[in-house]
Amino acid sequence: MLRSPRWWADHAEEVVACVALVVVVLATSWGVVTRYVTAQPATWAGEVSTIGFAWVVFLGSVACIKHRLHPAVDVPLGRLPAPLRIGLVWFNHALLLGFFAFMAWFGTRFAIDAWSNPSPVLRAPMTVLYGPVAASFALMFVRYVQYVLLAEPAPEPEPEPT
Amino acid sequence: MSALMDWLPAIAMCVLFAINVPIAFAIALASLLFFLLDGSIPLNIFVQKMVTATDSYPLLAVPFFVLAGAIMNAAGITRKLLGLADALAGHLTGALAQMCTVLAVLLGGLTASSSADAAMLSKTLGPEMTKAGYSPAFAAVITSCSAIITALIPPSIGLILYGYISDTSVGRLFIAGIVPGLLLGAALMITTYFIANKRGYLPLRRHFGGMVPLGKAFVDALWALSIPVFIIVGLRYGFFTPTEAGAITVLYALAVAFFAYKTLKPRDLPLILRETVLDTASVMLMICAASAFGFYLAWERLPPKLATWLVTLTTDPTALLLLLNVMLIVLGTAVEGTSALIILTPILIPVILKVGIDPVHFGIVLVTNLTIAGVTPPVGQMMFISSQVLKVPMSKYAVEVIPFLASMMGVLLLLTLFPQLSVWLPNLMYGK
Repeated sequence: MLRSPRWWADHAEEVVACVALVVVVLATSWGVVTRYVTAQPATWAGEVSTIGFAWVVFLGSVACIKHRLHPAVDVPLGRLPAPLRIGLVWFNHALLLGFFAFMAWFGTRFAIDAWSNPSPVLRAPMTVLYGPVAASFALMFVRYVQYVLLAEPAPEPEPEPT
Repeated sequence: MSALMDWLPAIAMCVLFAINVPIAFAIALASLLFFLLDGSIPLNIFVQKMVTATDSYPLLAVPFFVLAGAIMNAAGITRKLLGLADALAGHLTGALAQMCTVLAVLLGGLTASSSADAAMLSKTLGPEMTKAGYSPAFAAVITSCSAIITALIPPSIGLILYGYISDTSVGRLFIAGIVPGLLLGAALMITTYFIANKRGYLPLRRHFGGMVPLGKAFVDALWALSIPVFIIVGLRYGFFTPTEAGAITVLYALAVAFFAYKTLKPRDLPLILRETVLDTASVMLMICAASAFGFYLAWERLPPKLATWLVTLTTDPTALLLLLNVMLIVLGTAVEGTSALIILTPILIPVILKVGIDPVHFGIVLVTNLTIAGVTPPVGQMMFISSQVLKVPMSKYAVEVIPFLASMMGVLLLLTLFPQLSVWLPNLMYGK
């Protein structure tokens, strides 16, 4: 079924994270199979799994912003005087947005610097491991503005055709 | 840095917790503060440390076991166990509640997430209990308390995380959780018996149904029941690591769901994957942040300092464990269990090693304590899940949970006082 551009824009991080999860499961399983079935175990499997895992975690964390799934200590801020409460809420927003922006900027620099460092087995640039940090924090900034500050309802996955 | 500056990031983290900043970001911000304050350590290390946790092969077991549990729940494999629970406990007083605990013990060997099991138990047995005249608050309490067993019987997310952070064998921890998990189940069933007897919650039938129906139910559930055996045997005999066991369990669960039970369709997979990604990411981002925070703790040598201070209070391992238990119970009323586990394990490990407590024993006590926190008001993930499903106000839940909390605290005390309950089985299987 074809999805609308809006659907892809809303679910991009979940799609990438789910694909990465499938890659991780298949690579790890292949590593076990080759150890017992073939003479040459797939040494690349462990590296592919851990790189895929980084994409699962960081892109998945963006989706957790959208669905407000990052746990916080349950403090009854509602009992505070209204001006203080509102002030704290806006302080949190500013703090988090600042952190996401910093991490997106610094993570991008770090990922670019890592381009010349090859990974131990695949010899792929380490950017594939550090890249998701930059991408995810940039997306967290966008999702935080979109779903927390502007309070857009988090999109639910469309029911699959039966 | 001065003593105050040494502690400033830790203090900042507590302040950020108190103003409702999500835990993962509060830990990350506190760690970043350390790097900025110190000035001599390159900021690159902060990003590197954040990613290091995902570069860990052992931690891959987390999404695998979450995914396997999600597949089994979606495919209804876990419900196949309901028939077996009925055959085993349907004749007991308070049968539906007793079945709930038996089912949780069986589920413990399949799924790794207490929250997922609380949802599954409250959705399946909760409405049955209320229809049979059980109070909704009682149904919410027994479904959430039973889900705690999942945290102990292998596979268990809490034990995987503890094993990774404390550098303890996950295989040993898995085996060590079996006896405590069964003890917890027995304690819940005894408590249920007394309450059900008093309130007239009836058995489903007068007598035990006999070996034939039990055997039939066992055969029906055989595919599902073979999973924990497969994991334990595979780990014990070194066929695979816990991580590989997780990946193979995923493929096995898919094969059983698609070909043996034929209850899963390819179109179900996107939702299962999405659920796994969300569950994994929310926990793992905390681990990533805690990895950077761990660098700060190690740099400032704070855990050894805390260990030295705590040892001035007592050097007796049992007294220290009791003291830590009290602290954890208090903390557990405010901080969600997995978050507390991630924050506290690196701090407490040097303490327990200093007084000679077995890290496997401590892992079981810590995970049991923090998982029980999942049913203690005002903050408790399993409490929220079961109460929401069964529409029970927290005030009623808080009263109904008291006898169950008392019995679980009794088990926790036993586990604390008698390390053999935890370490006997792993020592038997792996050697000392």
